[in-house]
Amino acid sequence: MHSEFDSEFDYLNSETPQQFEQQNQTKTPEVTNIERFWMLTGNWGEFGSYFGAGLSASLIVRAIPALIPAWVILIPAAGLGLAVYSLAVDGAAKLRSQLILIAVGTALIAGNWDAWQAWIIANSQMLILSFALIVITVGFVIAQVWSKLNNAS
Amino acid sequence: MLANKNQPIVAGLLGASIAGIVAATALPFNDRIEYKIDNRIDSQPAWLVPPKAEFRSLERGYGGIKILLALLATGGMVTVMLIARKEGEQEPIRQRIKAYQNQAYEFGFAAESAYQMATTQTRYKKLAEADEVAFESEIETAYIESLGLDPSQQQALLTGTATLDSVSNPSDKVDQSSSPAIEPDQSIGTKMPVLTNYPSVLIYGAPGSGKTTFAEQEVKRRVLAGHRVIICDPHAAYGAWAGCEVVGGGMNYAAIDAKLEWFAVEVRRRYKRIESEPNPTFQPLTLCCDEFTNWAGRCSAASEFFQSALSDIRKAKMFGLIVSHTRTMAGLANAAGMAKLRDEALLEVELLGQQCPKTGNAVPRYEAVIKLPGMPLNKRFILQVPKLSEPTNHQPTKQDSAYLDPIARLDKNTSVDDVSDTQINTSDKPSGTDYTLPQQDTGNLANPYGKGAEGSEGSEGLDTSSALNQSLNGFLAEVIAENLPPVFADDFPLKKHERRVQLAKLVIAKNLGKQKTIYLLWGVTDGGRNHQRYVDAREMLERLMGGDNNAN
Repeated sequence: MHSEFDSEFDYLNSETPQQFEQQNQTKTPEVTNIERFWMLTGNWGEFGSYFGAGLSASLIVRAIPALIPAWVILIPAAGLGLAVYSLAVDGAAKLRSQLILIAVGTALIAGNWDAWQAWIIANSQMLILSFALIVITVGFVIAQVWSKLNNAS
Repeated sequence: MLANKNQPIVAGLLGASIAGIVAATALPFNDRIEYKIDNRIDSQPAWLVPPKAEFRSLERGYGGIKILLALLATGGMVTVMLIARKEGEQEPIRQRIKAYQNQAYEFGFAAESAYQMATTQTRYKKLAEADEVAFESEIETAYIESLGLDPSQQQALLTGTATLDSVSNPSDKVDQSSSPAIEPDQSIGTKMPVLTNYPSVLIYGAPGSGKTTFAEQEVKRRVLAGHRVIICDPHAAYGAWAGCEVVGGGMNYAAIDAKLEWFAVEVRRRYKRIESEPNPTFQPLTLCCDEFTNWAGRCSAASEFFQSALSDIRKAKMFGLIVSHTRTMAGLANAAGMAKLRDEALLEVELLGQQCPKTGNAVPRYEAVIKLPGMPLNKRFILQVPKLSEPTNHQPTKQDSAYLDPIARLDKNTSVDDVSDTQINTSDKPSGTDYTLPQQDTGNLANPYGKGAEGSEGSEGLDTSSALNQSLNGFLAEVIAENLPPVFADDFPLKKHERRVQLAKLVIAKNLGKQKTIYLLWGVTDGGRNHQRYVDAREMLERLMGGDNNAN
């Protein structure tokens, strides 16, 4: 029952200041607004750092065409390794690896939109064919599964 | 309101970085060539321009700017991240420090409050102590005033177990080392006042100071002055108070109580005569109360008697002579509320005692401190009391006692002195005539009991002796008044059985009833575990009565 004599700092019931400190530390920490601000800016700053790093790296690679073949192999490989790593670990490392994947992937796609646009235009026929094949294949598989399921029932 | 100066920096840097990233993302990287083909205008990088296209213009790419913005935005984002992480780590510490500061403030406030409370408590404690001291001073002043002393004067130094009361009013303690706090004034009143005609006199003093002897002298003076004197003395010795009616001997406080009630009735009777008769004359009546200290709680009428002795009895020619160990109200029948009247109406004679240096016994100092009525205690004066051996004083001797006491004479088979009327005229005549001091008769009578004791002539022979008859009448009165043990008890003064039988027959002749007679003769009552003794006593009574009838 709450009493008007209850105090947030119940030092009067503590024999020593050390005891009061220990009791105070066992409490669930209450997040203040300023702490919330620092967590928000820190997380967005980290995301922006990864995004900016990926963007800068991709732009630098585009600026030096001789690096493109290497990076075309390196970036997917690093991305694949990071994806596997994110699935293998837990906690803060998992969150950070996923953040890196999202940030770098977003940066590669968004920061080089003009390159992707040119690539799609240049390879439009192949993409359309590929899309048709995929649609046909997926449609066929779904139809087969669906027919099997209906026959079974 | 921003709580931290890094907040706007981080916020601004984060916004700029976001803007840089947006710009670096939105701007095209490569140069583009605007061309026209089939009436359609389009722009593509150089490597996507169809060969048949018509060149129109060249659009510059922003590759360098994008890289620069991306690097700057990345740096900004890293900076924001680092600052935010650092601030996020330090913020709880700052808050704990702030909490400790608040705690310190509260501790300081609590300490200050505790200090103020302690100061207040000390102040109140001092006030309470001062109040207590003042209250004790008031009590002390009231107590000193109750003793009749002046509180403004320097009081006596008290040592050992002495109290101010015991020093100022040395009652029943004989202490040579302690002097009275208020020394009686010895310069005035060197003459002993006449006590005989004063209504109420208190004689008190330490054991051994001579109170009873002084009272005996005063009683004799009053007897000579024509007083009828009644002595109430629970410690009455054998043969003491010669010539007076003695009541209460053997610590018979019931008899004393009855005598006090009779005294009150007598007071009222005399005042009725005063009211109804012109100039009535009364014989002066003195009631001498010895050992008055012990009466409180044993005699219900003692308090009323004391009050009456201080106020009512003067006009009725009645007098009170009180002998006590102390003048305190506790020693004066515990009469509550009478202290003022005592000081105003009582003539007090304090006899001083001392310790005999040789024997260690308490002996008189032959000095008396007199306090006249209404006189303050510090105005008392000291008088020399004549020693009893001086010829002007009479001290009862053994010979006097033997002469005065009928029992002693009866038990002696030697010659018996004359028996005056005084000795046998005791309680059977409570309103008798004048009492005079017995005059010693030098003549001897032949033993009047010798023949009777032998029984040669039976009771007839006893009747021939008027002295014996009178003595037996004296015993009869004492027995009926229950001042003596039962007639056939071992400790009854008459030792000869024949005398007891004669006395028993006199008791029977009084027709007091069978139970009362048996009680007076054998001291047993009906019922209870003494029933068999009562039955035996009744048979003996019937034998006595039968023998009497036969004799008649």
